[in-house]
Amino acid sequence: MQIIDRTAIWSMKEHPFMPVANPVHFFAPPALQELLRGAWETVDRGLGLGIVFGDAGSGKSMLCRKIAITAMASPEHYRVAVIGNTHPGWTGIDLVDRTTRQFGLQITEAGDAAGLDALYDFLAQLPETSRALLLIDDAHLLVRRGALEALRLLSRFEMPHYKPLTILCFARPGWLEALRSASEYLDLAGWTARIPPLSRTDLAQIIAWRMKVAEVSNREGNARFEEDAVVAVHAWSRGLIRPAIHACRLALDYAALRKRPVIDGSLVVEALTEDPRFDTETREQLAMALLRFDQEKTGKGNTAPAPPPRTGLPQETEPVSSAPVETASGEIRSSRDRRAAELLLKAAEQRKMKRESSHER
Amino acid sequence: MSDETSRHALRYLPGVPPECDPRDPRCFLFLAGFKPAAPVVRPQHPIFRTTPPPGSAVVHSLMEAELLLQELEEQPREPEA
Repeated sequence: MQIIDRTAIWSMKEHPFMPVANPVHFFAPPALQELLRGAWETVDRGLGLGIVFGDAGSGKSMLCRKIAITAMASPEHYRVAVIGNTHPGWTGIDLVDRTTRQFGLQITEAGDAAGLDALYDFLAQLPETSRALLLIDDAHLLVRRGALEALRLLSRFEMPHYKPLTILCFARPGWLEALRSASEYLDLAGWTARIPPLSRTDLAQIIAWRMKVAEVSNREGNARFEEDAVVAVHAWSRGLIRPAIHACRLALDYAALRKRPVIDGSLVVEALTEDPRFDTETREQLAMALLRFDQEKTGKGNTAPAPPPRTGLPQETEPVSSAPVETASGEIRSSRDRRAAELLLKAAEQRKMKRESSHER
Repeated sequence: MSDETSRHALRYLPGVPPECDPRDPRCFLFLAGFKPAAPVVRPQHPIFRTTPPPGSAVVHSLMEAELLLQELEEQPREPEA
């Protein structure tokens, strides 16, 4: 459906930043591509169990669904089942039953082992060129001993040279502790990985891809997030995709509602003030990030010799100096940055107060 | 690029394969793990029965129908009025 409002500045085919992990919007930065490579290798080589760890909001569900939909497109090679509603109360029988059902298998016999029998029967009949792929989202909710035991049973089904069923679990890092306490389960994993935090460049690419897929346009032809907008979103998100998408949605809606043609850093900060989590600390953090970005930009045009590069630090976390005198003391630069950030905040607050008072009139 | 190579590339490329549409609720609910896959259809073996089913039973297979017909034909016909 094309959403067209003649008076609106912004138009789009669909909203690019809905809080839904639809793989249509999936974009893999290089680090995530590496993770995907590991996941597919686990499946194709028949390694049995793979675990992807990721913090809340790091994009586990999206990754899970991207793998699922890619496998679905090759039914001659992959039989897919996805479990997305795991529950801490699940027993082993619950997990086996759900697995059987999600694979579309029918249990004809009665008894506790009927589900497992149907599953083993199904796996034994799979051709050698095919793999059964079970994706368990929110696997950290499988905490009962019985559920873990079922996981072990499922991943233990073996053919002479491979395992026909690959289970890919997507879990929060806390699950690692649960598995460590029962090391026999962790040892079963043929592959483990952790979702890396997003860099600013990653985030810029993701935002641009989503805007493109959703066909977002405006009269000015600037249907994009400006660089400093990405900086603000990245600072807010702390490298996690879910808060980043949330910030982008607030910013785009804010721009559309107020008929603002450009989404820049200040607009993102304004939009985020509507979020209940936005507090003084966040404000300061965003201001600092924007200030550092300004310095980066200014530094590019500076003819002064660049300081020696620091190794082992991501680019966006490296402090960038605008003048050599400032690099002499980190403390001086830090306090000056902070003062500048405070001034920026005060100016933004004053702007906001002025705007509100003019609205009231 | 061969079909197999392009399929492998799809694993890492943004977006989804053209065969699947996650904007379709059925597809999406499966991907999200809320709906099971379509039931597995297993090949049905023909059922051979030595005796035909009673007259009131539902005829399930062609074989049964043929047996029933054969039995009916073998029965002596009632003279027409």
